[in-house]
Amino acid sequence: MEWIDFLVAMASLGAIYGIVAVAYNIQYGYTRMVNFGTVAWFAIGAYTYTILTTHPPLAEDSYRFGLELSPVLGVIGAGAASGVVAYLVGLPTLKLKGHYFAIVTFAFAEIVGYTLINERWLTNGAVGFFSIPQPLAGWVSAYFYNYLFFFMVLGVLIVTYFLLGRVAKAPFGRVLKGIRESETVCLSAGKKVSSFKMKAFIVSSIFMGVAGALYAMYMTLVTPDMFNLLVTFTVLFAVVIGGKANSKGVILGMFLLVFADQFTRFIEVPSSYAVKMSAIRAMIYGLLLIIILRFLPQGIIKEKKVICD
Amino acid sequence: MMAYPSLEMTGNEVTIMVASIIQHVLYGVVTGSILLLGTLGFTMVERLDGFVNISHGQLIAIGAYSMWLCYNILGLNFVIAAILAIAISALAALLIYKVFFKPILRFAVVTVIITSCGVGIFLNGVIEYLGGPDVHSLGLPIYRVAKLGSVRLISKDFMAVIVVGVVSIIIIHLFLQRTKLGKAFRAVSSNRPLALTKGVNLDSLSTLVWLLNGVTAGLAGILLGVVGNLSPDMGWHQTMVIMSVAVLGGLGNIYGIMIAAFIVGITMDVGVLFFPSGYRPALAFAIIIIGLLLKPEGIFSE
Repeated sequence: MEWIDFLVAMASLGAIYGIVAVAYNIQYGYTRMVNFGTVAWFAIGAYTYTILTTHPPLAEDSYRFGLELSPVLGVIGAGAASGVVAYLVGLPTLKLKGHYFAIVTFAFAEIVGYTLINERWLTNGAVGFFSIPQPLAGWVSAYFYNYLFFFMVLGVLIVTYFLLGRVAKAPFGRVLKGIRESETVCLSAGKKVSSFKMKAFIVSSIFMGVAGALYAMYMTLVTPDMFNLLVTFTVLFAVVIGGKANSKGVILGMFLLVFADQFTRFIEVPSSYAVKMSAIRAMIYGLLLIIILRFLPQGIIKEKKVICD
Repeated sequence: MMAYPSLEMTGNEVTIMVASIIQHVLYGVVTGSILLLGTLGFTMVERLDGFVNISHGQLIAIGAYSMWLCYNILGLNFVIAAILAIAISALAALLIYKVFFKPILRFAVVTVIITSCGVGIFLNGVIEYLGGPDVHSLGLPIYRVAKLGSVRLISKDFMAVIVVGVVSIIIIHLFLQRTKLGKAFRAVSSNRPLALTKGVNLDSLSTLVWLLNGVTAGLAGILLGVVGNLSPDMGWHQTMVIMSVAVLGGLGNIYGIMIAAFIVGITMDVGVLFFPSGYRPALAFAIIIIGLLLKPEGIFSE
C-alpha cells in the first residue's frame, strides 16, 4: 500500500501545481504576458494562508501575527492578497510596450524572496512556519487524510479548470487571444487592451494564490527557500510542453513533470554524486526546455484553430 | 540624570555620517562600474536580436568561475588568469549564441525569451556541477583602505575596478562611434531593414556583438570576484540587477545605461546605510518601479 500513498501524495502535488499552470496559461497561453515571477504569487498565497490560520507566536518565534482564523478564510485571504499584489504590480507595467512586464515580474519575485527572509516580524524569517493547520483534519484519521486532501485539491483543480475554461471561451477570452496575436488590431477594434490584460492578470493571480495556500496545507510548513526560481520555471515548462492556450495539455504536462521530478529522487546514485544531483537536474531541465521549444514550439498538444464560433 | 534622545546631532556625529556616506557613494561607483560592464552586453543583444536574455547573468558567473579556475585552481598569474577567463567567457558566449539562439531567432520573441530561460537554468546547472554548491572566493590580498584626512575612502583594488570600468566605457564609446562595425551596429539597432538593404553583414556583426558580450560579461564577473564572493546563484542575482539597470536606461539605449548603472549602484550601496542590508538588491527594483511610474518609456530612452 505504500506506493499508493506515494502516488496519492504525488498526485496532490501535481494537482496543486496544475492549478498554477492552468492559471499561468491565461497569462502566457492566451494573452502572451510573460510572467517570470509566478513563484511570487504562489509564495504570497502560501504565506497569507499561513499567517491567517497559524497559532499566535510563542516565545521563541519572531513573528507577530498568527490569527488562528478558519482555513476557509485563509484560502480566501490568500486569493485576495495575490489579486491585490497583481493589481499593484500590473499598474506600472501592463500599459508598457516591450519586455517590461517580464523584467519587472522577474525582479519582483526576487524581491518577494528577500522580503520573506528579512521581514521576520511577518514571516518568521528563514525559519518559516511549521505545523500549518489543514482543513477538515479532525474528520478522518491522519492515515486517510492524504486521500481526503487529494480529493479536495482535485476538486479545486477541476473548479479552476472549468471556471478559467469558461472565462477563456467567453468573449473575454477571445479578446485575450486577440491581444496575443496583435495588440494593434485589438486597439483598433475598440478594446481597451491594458484593462483586459489587467483583468486577466488579476484573475489568474488569484488562482495562483489559492494554489499557494493549498501548497502550504500540503507541506504543512513554509520556508523562504521553498519558493525559488525553479517553481516559476516548472510552471513555465509545463505550459510550454503542454501547449499554449490548452488547459488539458498544461495539466498533463504538469503531472508529467511532477512525477518525473519526484521519481528521479529514487534513482540510486553513488553518494559522491548525490550532491551534484540538483545541478544535473537543472541541466536536464534547461536542455529539455530548449529542445522542446526548438523542435516542438507548439507543445505536445497543438492549439485547435477556431475558425468561427 | 536622564538622557533625552535629541534630534540634533553633534558636529562630530554629522562628520561621521557624511564620511560614511562618501565612502558608500564610492562603493556605489564600484558597483556601478561592474553593473555597467554587465549590462552592456545585455543591452547590445537586446538591441541587435530583439530579445531579453535572461541567461545573461550566467555569462557573468562563467567569467567569475573561469577566473577562479585559472587563478586559484591552476595558480596562474593574475593578469594571465584574467585574460584567459575573459577568453573563455567570450567563447562561451559565442557558442551559446550559435548553438542555442541563432537557430530560433526567426521564431516569436516570446519563444526566444523562454529559451533564454532554459539556457539560464542549463548554464546554472553546469556552473553548480563544476563549481560545487559552496561559496568560493578568489582569495586576493586585502588592501588597506585609503584615507583622505579622517574620511575613509576605498582600497586600491576597488579603485582599480573603477578604473577598469571607466576605461572600458571609453573603449566601447570609441568602438561604437569610430569603427565600421560599431557604426553598423548602431545602424542595425536604429533601423534594421534599412541597414540590411545597405549591405550590413548581420552574420559577422552578431558574431562580433556576442564576442563583445562575452568579453564585457566575463570582465564584470572577474571584477565581481575581486570585490566579493562567488556562489552558484550569483548569475540569477546579477540578471535581476542588470535588468533593473537596463529598464532604467531605457531598454536598448547604450548611453542611457551608462548613467543608469551608476544611479542603481550608488542607490544600492548608499541605501544600505538606511535600510537593512538584506534589501540591497531590492532597492534596484524599487528604482525601476518608481522610474516606470514617472516615465513609462524608460528614464533615459531615446
